[in-house]
Amino acid sequence: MTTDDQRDHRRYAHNGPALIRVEEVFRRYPTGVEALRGVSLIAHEGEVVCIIGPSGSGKSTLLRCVNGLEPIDRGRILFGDREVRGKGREARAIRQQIGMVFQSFELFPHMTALGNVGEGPRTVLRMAHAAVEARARALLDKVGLADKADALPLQLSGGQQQRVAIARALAMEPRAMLFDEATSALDPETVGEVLNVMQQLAREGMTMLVVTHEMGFARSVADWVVVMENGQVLEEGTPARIFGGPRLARTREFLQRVEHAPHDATVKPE
Amino acid sequence: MLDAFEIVRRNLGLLGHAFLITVELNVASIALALSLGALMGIGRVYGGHWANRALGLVIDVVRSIPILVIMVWAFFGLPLLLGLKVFPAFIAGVLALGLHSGVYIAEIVRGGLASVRAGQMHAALALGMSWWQAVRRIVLPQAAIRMMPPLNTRIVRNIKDSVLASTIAVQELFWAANLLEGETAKPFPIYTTLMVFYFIVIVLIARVLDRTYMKVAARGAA
Repeated sequence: MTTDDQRDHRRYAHNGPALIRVEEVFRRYPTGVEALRGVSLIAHEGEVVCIIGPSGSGKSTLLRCVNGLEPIDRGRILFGDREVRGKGREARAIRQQIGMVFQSFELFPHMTALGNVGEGPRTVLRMAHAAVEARARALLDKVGLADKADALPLQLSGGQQQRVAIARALAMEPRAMLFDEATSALDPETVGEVLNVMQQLAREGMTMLVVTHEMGFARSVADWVVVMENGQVLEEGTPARIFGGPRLARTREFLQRVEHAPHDATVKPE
Repeated sequence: MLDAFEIVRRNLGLLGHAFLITVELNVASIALALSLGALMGIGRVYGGHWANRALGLVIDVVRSIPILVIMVWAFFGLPLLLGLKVFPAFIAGVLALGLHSGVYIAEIVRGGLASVRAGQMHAALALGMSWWQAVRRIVLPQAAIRMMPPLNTRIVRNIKDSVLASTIAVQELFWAANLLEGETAKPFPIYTTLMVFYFIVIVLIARVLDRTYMKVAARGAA
């Protein structure tokens, strides 16, 4: 048994079964860039795993691979006991259970906030009109935007748009959520409102894979932190261990760089 | 002076009938152009490399030929090619106008679809939609809104180009005006009336199309 296996074993005992399991995944873009070079990681049921690391380290690619939006060349990704694929009915069935939130929100601009949140239940789940509306309203209320139901994305601030996007993903009642730098495109004053919604989700026990540059969030909300660089996992561990005493010089350098960068949006520790 | 326009008043029956032909010619050719343009534009974006190349070639060829040449060829050349003895001028006019406008609309459709960024497709797929659901529910509606201004321009252009069908004896407005002028030798009142009439009709249509776009423009924002 390797050290990695022992470590996973320990986490398994603490956190229940693995929900997302990435095993030795490689991805080379058609341009020749090797985005992922043998990445493995695990997110257990109900766990928040934050993926940090410099730009271009493969974090976002990895996230897209997890719900099959990006094909992989080697390795495999399991969601529960099913293998993630890029195409077909099986791929769609898994995507329905994994919500995704994007850096650039990607709200549908031709629909109102309510329309955006209801789109998954309406088109994918084919739920009845009244049930769609009830669910969408409840979720907008949950993210604090009940009064913005009829607003178009154009009329919302960045932070509001991202909260609608989170509600849209939650409307599919996913088993896991992927956050791809969900606050990187936001004005500093609206970062906090999005992080608070994410923190609330974490508290409710949602399994989350969070690519982020918000070290405050990773430190206070994550159960497990994965540091990536050049398409590989540099090291991983509890936030206390990664932020308190990183083993590798490369991790230390990265953390020093980002901790010196100005960021005023922080999450209240629990 | 106003007496000169008496000639127009006395021939309102002829002109009215010709106006109906103009309307039919435009409705049919614009419908053909929109269908052709949608198919070719979607084919270029989603049909893969070779469909894109082939359609691009067709579009470039048609765009390089004057509309009048296409029109005359459709009337004289096409029936020979198809082995038909009788070929209605109206059909030739619809085909020529529809093809000509269609290739321009294909490029408008292609541009509109390409302008919807890839992230929108990703967001739709991430919800669990099928590719076709994502295209139909998310990409097409946004693209359609963004296509409206250039499409409106093209529709107006089609109406103006439709007078060229008079050269192959489609009995539309300009053909009727020509006929009247030949019989009465009074070009001034006849062509002045025609000019004012086209101006009013086209300004009205352009306004209506523009208003329609303004109503939905916000929903097409990037």
